Amino acid sequence: MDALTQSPSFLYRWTATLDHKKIGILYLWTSLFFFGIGGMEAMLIRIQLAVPGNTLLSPEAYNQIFTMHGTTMIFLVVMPVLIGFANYFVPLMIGARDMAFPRLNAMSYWLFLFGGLLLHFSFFAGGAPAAGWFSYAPLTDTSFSSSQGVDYWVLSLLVLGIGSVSTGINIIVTVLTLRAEGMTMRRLPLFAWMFFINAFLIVLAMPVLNASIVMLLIDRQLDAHFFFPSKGGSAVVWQHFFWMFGHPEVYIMALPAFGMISEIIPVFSRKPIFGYTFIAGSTVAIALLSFGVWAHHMFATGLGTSFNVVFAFGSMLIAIPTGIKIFNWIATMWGGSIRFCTSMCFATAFLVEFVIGGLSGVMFAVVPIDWQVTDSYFVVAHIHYVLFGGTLFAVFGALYYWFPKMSGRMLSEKLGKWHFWLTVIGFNMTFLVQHVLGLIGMPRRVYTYADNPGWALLNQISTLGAFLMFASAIVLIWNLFRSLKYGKPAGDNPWQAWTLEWATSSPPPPENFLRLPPINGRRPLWDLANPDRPDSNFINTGTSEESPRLAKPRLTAALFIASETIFFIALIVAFLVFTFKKDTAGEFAQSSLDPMRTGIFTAILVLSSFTLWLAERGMKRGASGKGWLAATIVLGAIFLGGQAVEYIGLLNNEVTINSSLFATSFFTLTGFHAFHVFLGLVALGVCGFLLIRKKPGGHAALGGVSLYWHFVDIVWLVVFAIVYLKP
Amino acid sequence: MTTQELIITAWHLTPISIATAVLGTLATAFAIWKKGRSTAPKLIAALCIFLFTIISPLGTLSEGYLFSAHMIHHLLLLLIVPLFVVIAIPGGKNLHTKPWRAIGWISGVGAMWLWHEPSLCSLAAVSPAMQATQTITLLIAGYLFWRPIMGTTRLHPAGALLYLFSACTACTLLGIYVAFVPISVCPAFAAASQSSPIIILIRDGWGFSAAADQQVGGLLMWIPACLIYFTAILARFLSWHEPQNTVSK
Repeated sequence: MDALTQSPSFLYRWTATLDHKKIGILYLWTSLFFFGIGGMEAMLIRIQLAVPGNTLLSPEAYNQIFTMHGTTMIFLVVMPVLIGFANYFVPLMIGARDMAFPRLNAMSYWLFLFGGLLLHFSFFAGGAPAAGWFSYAPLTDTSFSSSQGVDYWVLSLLVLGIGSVSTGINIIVTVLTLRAEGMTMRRLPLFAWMFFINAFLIVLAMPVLNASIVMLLIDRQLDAHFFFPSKGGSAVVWQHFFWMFGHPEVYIMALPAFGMISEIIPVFSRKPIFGYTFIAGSTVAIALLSFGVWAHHMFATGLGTSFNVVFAFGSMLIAIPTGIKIFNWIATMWGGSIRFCTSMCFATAFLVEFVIGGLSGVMFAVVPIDWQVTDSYFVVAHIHYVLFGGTLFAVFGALYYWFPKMSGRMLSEKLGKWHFWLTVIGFNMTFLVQHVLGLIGMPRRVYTYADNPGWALLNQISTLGAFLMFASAIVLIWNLFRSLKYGKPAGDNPWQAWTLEWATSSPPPPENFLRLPPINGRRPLWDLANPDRPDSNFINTGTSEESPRLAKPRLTAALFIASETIFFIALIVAFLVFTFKKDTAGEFAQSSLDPMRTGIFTAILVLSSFTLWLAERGMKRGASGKGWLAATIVLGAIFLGGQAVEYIGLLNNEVTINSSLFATSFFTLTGFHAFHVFLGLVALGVCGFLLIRKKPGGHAALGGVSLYWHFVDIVWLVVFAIVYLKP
Repeated sequence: MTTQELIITAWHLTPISIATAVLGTLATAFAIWKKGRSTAPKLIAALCIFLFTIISPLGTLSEGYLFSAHMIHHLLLLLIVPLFVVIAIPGGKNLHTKPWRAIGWISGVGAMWLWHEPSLCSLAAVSPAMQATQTITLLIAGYLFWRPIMGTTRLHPAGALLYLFSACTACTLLGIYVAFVPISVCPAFAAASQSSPIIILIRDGWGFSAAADQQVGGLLMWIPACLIYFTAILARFLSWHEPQNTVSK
């Protein structure tokens, strides 16, 4: 052991690390790696489309490649690169030593890496997923997607989803519990604030995806009936579920980018951000609204006029807080002494490209326009202006801004300018023309096209632009490696920025700060450099004493429960949807349930919540409480036994998960609940072990676990009321 | 009957609605006299919205004719009128304990759920006495609901966000249910007499089927209700920052 800690090898240092900075860098390199793969796929798509009637790629190969391109770029590039920056900089910006849960943080990273690899194993297992990044049913049915690609897609997204939720919880707990003295919530740097809000989106939106892909997997592997109309399911329900996750996901990918821009623009304009409150507030507004507008992805499914009107309205509304931000950034630049370093160039270009993407987004909110151009290249142009012109431009800006802090060396400005101009020209060449292609009718996701007037030329311009972007990516990678070795030493604060990450050395020591500067406002380093005119003279952000520190285990358990609540709501909604679509077999299954017997087991489960409460109360009063804890575990186990009896009875009556819609949704819902009870029993057992061995932290852990246990019981009461007592 | 005739003639002037309206006006006058003239604009605004809800054609339509009108009726009585009242009369500091927050949340959300239990919903749609009960419970529930957010002793903005966001989630779930469920959640509206001139106007004149009506009703409970909550969240968030923006030297 000693030998290992004294001279750990390079590999050991990086694989065993719990340092948020190292983990952040791992995220960034890994997403760069996947960016390479996704970029190659994009190049193949563009080469295939360079001439009409091309036969370079078969239709099957093309479908796999555009599906993998979309999935890779969204789940393996954009999300992790943002999480990587957050991992590195949120703790630094709030003056913390590390994340709240360093081990959980490392787990999230490894889940990301292996989830990504798992997705790519599909290439060797008979073919990658080929149903598009949103995997619409019924195309994902085994009769249309017979290879295992979709299964790999589901499993890898599940792995990634678990990692993302963990990261989300970790970031929220970090911000709420580990802020340095004086770093109040109202003084958070905007990047930290936005990622904090964003973490809530992750925690609440990912479980919807997890629930729906679990149902998809059950459909495919166990021949169940959730999403496939041929068996009585509903393909539109898949779309609802997917976009209920998918639209918040758009903002999960956009909000951190807004945060980066809000850090870069003030520093390079030499002005404090204009309208901090409005930027922070509009972020909250965007996050809230993003949960209520998903159906604008579904205007073409025939939801009905009233739905369309309401969702069109909501979608236009969300443009307002986003628009406010654009004006805030412009007003920050206005009258500032702007330095157009590469970072600032990307931030400025972001404003232009993102506005274009935003405007085409507002166009999509207009239902008839949506009907006209949905599933055409107009959508492709729109999503790339938002995700590439928006998010990735911000990420490039952030990379040039923060690379000196992470590596201790500056990126080459000369190569940076090459990277910038090649990206801007290549990007607009590639995607601006695609608006026109969409308007004149070129559908997306089709492997080739006929030689219609103008199509070939526009596609060739697009492909040429893609090559320029390819060149720009090579310049970027060259710049990264060259600057790591030969870059100009950066010093602590090369940009004369004001936030805490610049108050430590570059790269920061493992403990982050040897000494923190006093924090009396939003720009501690400005205050330090200008003691005669500190920010607090102009903007009073309140006293340093505010917001009580929250207890970590309970807060974490509460966030986990919030996430799980959404997961169960999705399953319950599915159950309700499908019990209203009754078929005869479903009636049969329902009549074979025994509310009386299950009622007794329900009472036992409720009793276990009571005994757990007694255990906790006993411990608070100094008693051991172990007897009550043991009783809780026994009662929970009896409940599981009751469930097993019920399942055996149903299976003996030949009610199986694929026998009817009712059985499908019944087994999924109650099965997942039983699984949660089981996990709760394990957690209670661990707490009991900690208490018996008198290990530190046993009581605190029980505080969190007991919240979870009560939650599982409440879920069961709802399930019991809906499944067993439903009139 | 045409739409114009509906607006002109279908005022809801039953003995009970007039009695409720008079009672409301007297209560407002009493409150202004008691709490000072500064409360008058907000209370009079609340009264106007209240009177509009009770005696305008909206009151008539929500009495078993138009489900979506009945939902607007709910939204105004539960979320808008009490909001004005709470802002005008924030009340004492004694009601800020945890149980009162729980009561506020449960009554605000519970009122919406309770009154859409099919038999209660139908009963309130056809029986004037029941509708008056409903009106009063909605007002009280709304007042209790808004107090922890806009009253004298307020929740911390983070708590307010949690309070309102969870209320929105609850409304959303019920709204989605009402909007998508193929059965009628309030049978009185689906069973309205086909020969009544108002129903003929709604079905033939406006081309508005009972199913579409329920859909709109569900959507109203879902999106506009949440937008009201969101506005309150933002108001609280901005006021959290506001007092700090003064120049201190």
